[in-house]
Amino acid sequence: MRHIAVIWLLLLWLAPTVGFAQNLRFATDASAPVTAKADKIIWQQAIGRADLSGAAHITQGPLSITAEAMHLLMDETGEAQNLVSQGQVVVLSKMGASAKDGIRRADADRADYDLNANVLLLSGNVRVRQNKARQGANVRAARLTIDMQTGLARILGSPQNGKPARARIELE
Amino acid sequence: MADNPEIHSKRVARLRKILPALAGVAFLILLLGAAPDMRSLFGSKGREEIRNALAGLAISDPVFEGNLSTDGRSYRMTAKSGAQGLDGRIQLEAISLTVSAANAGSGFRLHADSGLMDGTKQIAQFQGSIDLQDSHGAKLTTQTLNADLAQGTLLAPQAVSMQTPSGTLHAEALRADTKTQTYVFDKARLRLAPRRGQAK
Repeated sequence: MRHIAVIWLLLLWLAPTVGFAQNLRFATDASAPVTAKADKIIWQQAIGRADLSGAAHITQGPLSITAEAMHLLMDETGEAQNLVSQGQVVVLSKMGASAKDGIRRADADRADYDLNANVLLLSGNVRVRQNKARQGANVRAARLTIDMQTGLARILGSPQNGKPARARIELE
Repeated sequence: MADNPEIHSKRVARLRKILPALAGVAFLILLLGAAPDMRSLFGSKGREEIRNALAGLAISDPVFEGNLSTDGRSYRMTAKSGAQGLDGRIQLEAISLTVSAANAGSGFRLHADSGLMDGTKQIAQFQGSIDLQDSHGAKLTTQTLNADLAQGTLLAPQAVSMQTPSGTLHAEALRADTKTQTYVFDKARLRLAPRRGQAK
């Protein structure tokens, strides 16, 4: 009887964390315009590439990305296809209109935003956290995708070893 | 009616003085007209006088043509009117510049309200409403643009905008190499064009 009570208490304690991992969601708006700012943009239409450096920053609706460097890849017609961010990538997502709704933050080494598929792929030391006012759990993973239309995030396995997706949940 | 001999001799004496002077003036005029290079007749002060005389000289439909030394591309710049300035540059109005694509270099077309052309250095300063369209479909607009036609480089020291199939870009300054069509924007803001099917 005593063992059952302990397990029950453990389950109660872990429930919010498990829910956080399963329903990981970011506030997104795929229909909002994408704007990018940088101290310097080197535009090379002939090779379909633009390099952003110096306080590079992308915003789309409630979601923003900052990184040490970014580059925009275009197709042969000149249309933007992918936005790649590299070096101390920080994704911030305002979860609501007011400050108390919180901000979800994801850190990674790299972010690839496929503008056609509306998918943001974070890779390399991915860490997701909600601000402490709402939830105190962090998720660590090798890769994470965010569907920019629904805001739903999925933890992916490492592409190198083909192992199933693994995430580490840390309680603060 | 017979002339008074005294008056007649006075006229002859006067003509004897005036005619050599008139002949001298006529000779000088002939000499100036026939001179192949007027600069050889004048010192540096004379050159200055000639330049001042040419200043403001109106030129109708001036045309400048040349080659970009780095890659063999050619350019042709036309204007509605031009006027020679004191410093040797030509003030132009309603300018059209075409740089042809050749070899690995890319071409572009430019229109400007006005500008100053230094024909010796092949440097042009465009002003007013300026638009440039390159061979990849990018369209640049600005108010001031300096072009080194010999090198094929551009410099916009003030606000500049660029429209491409990807979107619209605004920046505080621009440097460009027209051969590779590489544009370097400072303090830039890019707004990507909405994707197909996007509401906004």
